[in-house]
Amino acid sequence: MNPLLQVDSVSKVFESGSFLRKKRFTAVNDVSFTLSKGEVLAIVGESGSGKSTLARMIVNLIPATKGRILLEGSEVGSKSRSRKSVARELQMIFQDPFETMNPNHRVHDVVGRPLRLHGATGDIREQVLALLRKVGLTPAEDYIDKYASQLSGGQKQRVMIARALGINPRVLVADEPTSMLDVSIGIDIMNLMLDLKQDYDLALIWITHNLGSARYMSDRMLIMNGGRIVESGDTEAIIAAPRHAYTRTLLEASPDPWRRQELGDAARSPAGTAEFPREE
Amino acid sequence: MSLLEVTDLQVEYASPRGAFKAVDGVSFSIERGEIFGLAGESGCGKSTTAFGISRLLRPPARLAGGRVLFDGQELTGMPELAFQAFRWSRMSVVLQSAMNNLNPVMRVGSQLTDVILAHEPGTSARDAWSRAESLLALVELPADRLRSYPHELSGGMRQRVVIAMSLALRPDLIIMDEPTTALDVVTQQGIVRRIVELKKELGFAVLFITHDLPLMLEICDRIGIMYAGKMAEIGRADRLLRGARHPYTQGLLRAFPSLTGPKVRIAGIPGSPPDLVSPPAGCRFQPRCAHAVAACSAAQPAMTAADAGGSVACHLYETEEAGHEPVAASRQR
Repeated sequence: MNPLLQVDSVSKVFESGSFLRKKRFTAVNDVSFTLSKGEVLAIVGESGSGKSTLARMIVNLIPATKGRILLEGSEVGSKSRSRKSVARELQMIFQDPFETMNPNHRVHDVVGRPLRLHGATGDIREQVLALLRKVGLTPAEDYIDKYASQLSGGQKQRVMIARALGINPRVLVADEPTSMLDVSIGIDIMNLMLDLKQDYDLALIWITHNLGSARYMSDRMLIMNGGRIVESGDTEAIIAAPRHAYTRTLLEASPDPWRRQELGDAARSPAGTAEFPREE
Repeated sequence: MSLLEVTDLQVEYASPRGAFKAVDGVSFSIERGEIFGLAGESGCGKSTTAFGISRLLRPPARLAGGRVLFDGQELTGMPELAFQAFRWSRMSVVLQSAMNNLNPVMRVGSQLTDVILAHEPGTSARDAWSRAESLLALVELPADRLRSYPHELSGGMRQRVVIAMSLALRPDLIIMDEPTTALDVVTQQGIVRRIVELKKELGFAVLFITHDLPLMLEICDRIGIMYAGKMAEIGRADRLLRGARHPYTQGLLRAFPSLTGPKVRIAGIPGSPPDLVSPPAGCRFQPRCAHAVAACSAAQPAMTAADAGGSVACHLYETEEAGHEPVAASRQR
């Protein structure tokens, strides 16, 4: 079976400086992977690893310098495909819900516009209400006329998910959508995305710096460092037995007292203060 | 005697909709050489508590009540000038994104020696410089970095400089408000490890504030969990990990996806924190609490002592008959 999305030796080189003294920076370096229907793939890396640049290339926000990105065999970003037809299939949720919405736009505008642009017919307001219910903003009537500035971070992120879902995309790329939210709100957004993935039969790319959230969300993951994929495979297998030194470093540095408790003294906390388990 | 004793701290904010208390009757103490964590979600008042203690509140916030005793000395009534000398020499503060608060046009060395010269005017420039060198060594930065400008350093290095600065006058207490939040985990680990090592070497105490509860559970001796301006629970880190008492703490601990244990669906905490201008009657967590009983909306729970030196503000623990069992966070996963 052909994969839904195929990323084939993609690189991104940013250039700066003058014509004669050009500086080149390779943000993404020869990255390849595939994504199947209904799958959740996590891309894990620290700042500067290239994970967000990769996400932007996948949804065709920026062109790749080298390599191809194929959606069901047809190239994203090629001249034969319009931007709009790519947008219809590939949608992105951004990290910062406070910056992605115009504070002077109403929820109705934000969620309704893509519907109209992609030729929705009938009662758009009804469709927006249905989408708001889908993302847990109920009663939807209370939210539809609110301005973006009247919503909390979690509510904004739900609106952004509703906006992305409206046109029935095949692939959703989520770039750290919970990193700006409180954990108890973030976990609800993660659950919502897992549910919607099921309901809409979506493929999901979950971009994160947090290995815990990658484990919670994904079946498979890619670990990126310096623009390259350093390790990829089954999420549980990587966490249980990381092969690449960088993955081990990342895993060791991730605060997780439960894991240290389980591993016992062999993996004492980085500080070496807390000893687990300890009886009074 | 505890190093720091905070009793019934109140911080009030003026807002167009009326005044509200961002910190409402918070009490806790910090022992010498202890790392005390203050955790909670945005708006719970953890940073405001730190600002109240270090008198860094700016209008529309103001200290509305409570006592802060530092080494037996009352801080709340201390004149401003005396407090300025006191702050930094005995109690220093590392703020969130402090690394961006370094002066961009001054070399790191001048900024470090500034602190020393301002508080110890008799010091010679040469002595101050050599002290600055040893301060950088404490945070594992090479001495030649004194000649660097902040923009020449990475975020992690800048944060190390700020920590070095906070150590300059050998304080007894360092307040750290999200000191590593803006950094990557690997960088964070290096810095946090160094803070704990230095604490052991130099014997200072730390008030460590973060929303990152897993990190806090790894490095803190004791932790206070705040919710909607009030202290919900205080307990030893290992005790919280094995059995948090307050339903909010339990929910918060559950909400962090772990790298271990069976992969199960995690439930968030339904609802959202209350509007502090008109908080709910009784316990502030009660509208979101799955265990709420009639008493919870009738009266605010008082902080009551629990085992292992912990305490909790929850009606479920006030009577023996209630017999509410603490739930081990590790077993729930």
